[in-house]
Amino acid sequence: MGTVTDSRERIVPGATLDWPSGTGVAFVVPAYREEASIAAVIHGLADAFPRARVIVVNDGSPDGTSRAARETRRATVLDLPVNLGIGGAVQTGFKLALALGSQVVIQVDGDGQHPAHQIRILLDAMTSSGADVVIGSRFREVSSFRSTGMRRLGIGLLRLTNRFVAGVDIADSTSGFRAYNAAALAFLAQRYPADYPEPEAVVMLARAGFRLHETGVVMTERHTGQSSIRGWKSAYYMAKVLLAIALHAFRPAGIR
Amino acid sequence: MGVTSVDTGRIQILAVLGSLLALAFVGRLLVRRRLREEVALLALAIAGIFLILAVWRPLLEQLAFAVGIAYPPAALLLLMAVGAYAMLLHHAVVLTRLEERQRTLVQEVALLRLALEEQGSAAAAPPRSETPAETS
Repeated sequence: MGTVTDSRERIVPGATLDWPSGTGVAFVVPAYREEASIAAVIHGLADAFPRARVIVVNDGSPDGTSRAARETRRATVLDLPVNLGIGGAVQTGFKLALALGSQVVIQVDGDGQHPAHQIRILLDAMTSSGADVVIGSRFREVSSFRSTGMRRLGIGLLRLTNRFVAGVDIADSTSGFRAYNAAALAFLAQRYPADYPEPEAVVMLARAGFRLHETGVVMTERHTGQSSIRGWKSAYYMAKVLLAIALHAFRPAGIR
Repeated sequence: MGVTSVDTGRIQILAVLGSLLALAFVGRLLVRRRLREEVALLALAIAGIFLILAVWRPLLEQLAFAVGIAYPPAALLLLMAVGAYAMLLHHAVVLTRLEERQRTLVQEVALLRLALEEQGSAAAAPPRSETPAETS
């Protein structure tokens, strides 16, 4: 870790924060098999925030995701030599963003679900709320998102568990559309859950004393690809995440 | 010549041979460095217990009766199941740790590769590394 941090700091000067242009802002875009949509996502981010750093983490995709991202010439592309899953991919991006001295990191899905213009909402919410973490929620205020009954049930269960274990009320803890400040970033770069990380990360952050804030965003239908969580897998997902979260109640809260 | 009583000495010989075989097999794996000592200790202990029980049969009966098992062979099965479970759990723990380490290493490789690329592109033409991403 140390060596990478050093070389990184040489390449990019430590950043001050200027949101309108994106200075000090890093986007972490995990991408697996997103050859068709990744370029549009990168251009959307780079157009909206010309000075932000767009970090694409190609999670060992067998298709041309990496090439498509590189050809935009507007993104820093990290290629994982093997597939790590979403958590491992996002954490890699966090490690780089941390080494770059980013002030705010925003996780954006590689499939185009999170439009660039919605990012300002996250950033504004971060300023106005003073929170360390802002979660873009599909269930607060504005919503154009339809989801299945099974999924709603699962998310409701998660919400209850969150309130119980972490003492926070987050309606949409599976949302991957999030902004983290530098302190939260440093925390997550060190420890980030592996497979289905979003809900667990919420609990870890809350228990470690970070302030979380949820704000309404509009997500669009997926451009391409499928959700990684479908059918029977979602039942497995729920069981796994609930167990993982419940276990946090028995662990000492992370050190900030 | 109907066989009405089973010659239990036969199974004792078999059990002793089987336990010895298991011990020898683990020992051979160890000698050839195909097995780490850490993992082998548990396997050796289990095989050793079976050998002792096979040689000294009253022990099994005493053990079984002591914990309230009326049929001593059931105690043997129970022991076997517990032993297998312990081995499996041990493997799961080792796997989890390996997975954690592998994740860190993979991330480090990706970060180092980027650092190399950026050094290369700063010096001369960027060395394009097409991602050799083989997942399976």
